Amino acid sequence: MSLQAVISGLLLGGIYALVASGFSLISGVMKVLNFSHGALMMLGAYSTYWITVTFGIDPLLTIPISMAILFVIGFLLQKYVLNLIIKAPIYMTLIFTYGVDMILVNAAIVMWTGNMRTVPVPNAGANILFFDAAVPVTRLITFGIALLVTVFLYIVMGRTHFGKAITAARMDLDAAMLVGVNISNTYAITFGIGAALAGAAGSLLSMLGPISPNLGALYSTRAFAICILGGTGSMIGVLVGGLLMGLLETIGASYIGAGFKDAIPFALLILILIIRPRGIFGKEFF
Amino acid sequence: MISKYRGLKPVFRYILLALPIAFLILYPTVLHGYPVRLATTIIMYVTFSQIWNILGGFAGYLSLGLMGFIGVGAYGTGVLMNMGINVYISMFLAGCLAAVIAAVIGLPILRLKSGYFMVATFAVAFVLREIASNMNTITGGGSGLALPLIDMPIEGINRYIYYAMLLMAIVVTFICIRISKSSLGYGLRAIKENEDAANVLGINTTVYKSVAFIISSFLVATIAGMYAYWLTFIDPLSAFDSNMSILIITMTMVGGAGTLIGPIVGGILISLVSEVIWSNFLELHKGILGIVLIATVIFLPNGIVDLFLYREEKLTWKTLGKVIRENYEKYRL
Repeated sequence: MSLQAVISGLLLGGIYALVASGFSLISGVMKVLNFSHGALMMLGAYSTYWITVTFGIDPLLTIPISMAILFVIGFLLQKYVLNLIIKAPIYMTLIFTYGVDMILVNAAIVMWTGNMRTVPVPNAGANILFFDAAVPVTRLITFGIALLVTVFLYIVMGRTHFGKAITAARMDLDAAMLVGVNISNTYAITFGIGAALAGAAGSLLSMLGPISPNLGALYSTRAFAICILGGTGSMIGVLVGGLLMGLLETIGASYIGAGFKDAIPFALLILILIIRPRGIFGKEFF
Repeated sequence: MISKYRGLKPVFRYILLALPIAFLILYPTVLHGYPVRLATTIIMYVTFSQIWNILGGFAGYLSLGLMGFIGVGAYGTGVLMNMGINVYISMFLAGCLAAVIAAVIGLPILRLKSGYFMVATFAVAFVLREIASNMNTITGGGSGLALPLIDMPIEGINRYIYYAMLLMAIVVTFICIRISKSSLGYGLRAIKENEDAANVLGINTTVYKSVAFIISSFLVATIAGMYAYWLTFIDPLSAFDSNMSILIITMTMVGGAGTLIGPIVGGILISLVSEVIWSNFLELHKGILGIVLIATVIFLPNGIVDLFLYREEKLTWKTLGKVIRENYEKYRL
């Protein structure tokens, strides 16, 4: 196993973990499998692109802005659209978010065309030599930010008053309402946070390669695969699952063939479902 | 809900059944070219929706993996025909291949609850596509696969495919009617209502779901074989087309999932709407379909036929408004 493949895999896995943490938050609290997660990521990537191109600032500095934009979009989406069907069976909500995904992607194609665009990243080609493996600096930075944001989410959920309100809503909806939690807003803010995480992931991805409206197409499923892999409802599981997914993808690509790169995570998902349905760190089966 | 169904008298039922079939048989003798091809497409989509409805409608296990089995059927038929095997035998064998895949994959992923099942089927379809596009020596890989041409004049081809699709549609519809009335159908509906309760009542839910999954995969792949023969050229992106999965799900949901007539109504309606959108606002096709989908989930989660079939009171503008309001309030926070 080459060191290069391991390092590339881990660096990629950091972003996967970030994508999956937002997805996991939404599915855990609202019991909605958010299929529009990939589309939200795509919007994050485009926010970074437009801000960078228009104002000429470093793409890394656009991440908070893109997160803020996505938070607002996610908040409004949940408050005025998804709250309409929040009590529907899970397959209905999944179909619903698939519809939202179609609309967002189509809107992006109409507004920005389907062309590939590249975010100008300063020092894009810089590398650090680690033993005999090259570590691209941009990827290292995106990895660091991804981990930072994921850990930040963990702290917010565990320590703040708002995090406790979310946990309450997750555990028992009616009881949470009785003790005065505003469910509608709590849900909206939760979805906003999830969307902001997706936006951050999109921003980071936009620095690594060309972007197009179809950028997020496979990420919703990938995020889901990571949640299953790491175990549902476990923050550490999401983190480990994401890193593992990145590792398996690059290692699989270099040993089985690059053509199968995208199929490996899904094959793995099916395998995990057969062998250990509750995931690596999962405590109970859904 | 089902108990409210007002059955028609048998005589009327047969007339109601015979009229459209007669119309469909005579259709290509009157019209030629584009209308026949359009009708063939509509019939194909109605059939796919009807098949998807077995698991998705009756059991509430919505498969996003239909495209996977369409691809398997198309590629299986294509590969076998290129080896010199007759088209019908190729289609049947491709169907059997899909059934075997469904049996192997179904057992583990059907243990999942419905929402998780959906995403897993999406993954399965995706893996199947990657396999098809990477087996260069057999499937031609990303550059696609050409099938033997149909040796007929162009109008003959149109008619031949039309009647083949129609025949399969009628067969599939009768299979669906049989399933709907059999213990399998009742078992699947019980699973939709409450899976744990169904299990306690002695329904082996895993077997029921697997059987439905295998049957539907076989049928889908067989019809997809004819579809590939019609297209004469397939590549991984057109054979494993996720838009097709979504179109079929939209049709069934709009028409009414879990009913026999729903997929037919939805299939015809959405096909025509889709055709209009395709020809006028190509760019907005996906978005408009998405709006139809989310509007359906909000306002008519049980589909259009729900308005007509399962209601005691007559449908007027007032009751329509009432129904829509009820549905709107139903799942709100």
